[in-house]
Amino acid sequence: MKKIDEDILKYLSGLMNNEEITDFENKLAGDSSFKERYNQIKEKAGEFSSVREIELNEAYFNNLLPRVHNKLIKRKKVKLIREYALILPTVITVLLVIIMSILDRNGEIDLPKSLASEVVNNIDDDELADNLIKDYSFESVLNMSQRNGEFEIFIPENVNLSLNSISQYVDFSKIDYSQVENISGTELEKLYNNLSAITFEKVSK
Amino acid sequence: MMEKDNDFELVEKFVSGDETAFNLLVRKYQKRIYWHARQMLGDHLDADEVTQEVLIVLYKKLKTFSYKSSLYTWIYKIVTTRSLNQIRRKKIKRLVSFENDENKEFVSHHDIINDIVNREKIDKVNKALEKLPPKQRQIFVLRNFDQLSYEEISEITGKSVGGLKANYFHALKKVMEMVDEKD
Repeated sequence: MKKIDEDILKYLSGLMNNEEITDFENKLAGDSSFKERYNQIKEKAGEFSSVREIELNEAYFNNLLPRVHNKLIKRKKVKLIREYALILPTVITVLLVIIMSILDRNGEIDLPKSLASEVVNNIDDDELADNLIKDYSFESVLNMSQRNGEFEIFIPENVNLSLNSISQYVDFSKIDYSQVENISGTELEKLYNNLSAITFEKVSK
Repeated sequence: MMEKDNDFELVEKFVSGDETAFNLLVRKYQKRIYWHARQMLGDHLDADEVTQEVLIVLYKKLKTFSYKSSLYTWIYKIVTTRSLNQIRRKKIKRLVSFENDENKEFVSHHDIINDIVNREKIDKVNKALEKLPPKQRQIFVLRNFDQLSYEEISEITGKSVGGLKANYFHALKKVMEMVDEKD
């Protein structure tokens, strides 16, 4: 770029000090070829700013505000969903914990206790011992063993015990049936079902 | 001054719950916002995205506007920052080849300048502006298109007036050289 053009651009950019401005304007007034070049450059620079006057599609601007409002509404919804997305899992977790604890109580504590008392209340000791051992093989009902003089009951896994083998180890007169309360829910349910079946068989006979 | 007083009144109305005041502000500034974004970004789709974002920011932040500056310099601050960010985003996208020439075709089909002559005119300007570094483009656009004073640009960009003059000079020089080459 020529020095003359650079000076014109400096002037247009406001980079000149007062002294330089005076010199420039004097030259502009006295030198016609300089003024011509100045006008050319100014015109070219002006072409860029004239773009502002280009007509734009008004429909776009008429539609802009509704689009912005729609976007705002959508964002509010997303924000709400995000907030709920954080709260909801927490609420669900809390609810699940509550439900689980209730179920747990029913399943693991209340149910076995009630079942145990039913078993103990409805079937007397002799009947329990006799019928269980007579009518049912212990492989599917109970396994009995004597440890520290206490009676323990648990569900056997592939154990086949007959009456004779049990009587060798167990003194039925010393059986503490309150131990039934220590049986877990699932075990107790199985036991209860089996005892009910025995009772039903007896009654139907 | 009238403009400033009117803005103040509209902002006050909006803050006290009058939504129509916001609509009036949008009507007043939407073209300036769009044009600035358009000159900075070079195409309609990007300019549209930035314009909408700026209006959303206005809607959300207008309540916190403290009148330390005039409303329009505050608006320019938002639009110019958003535009620069969009340029950066586009550059990153280009680097990882998310954008190609098909996009340019798509963009030209969605332009809001219907007249072909005008579209060619603006394309010519955009090509020259594309060659400028984003910060120089920002100053060139604010000075040349938006016709703001250096003091106003300084308020918007946070740069010194002397630095802005030098930057504008370099931008203008580059643009003129490009125009001369083509002629």
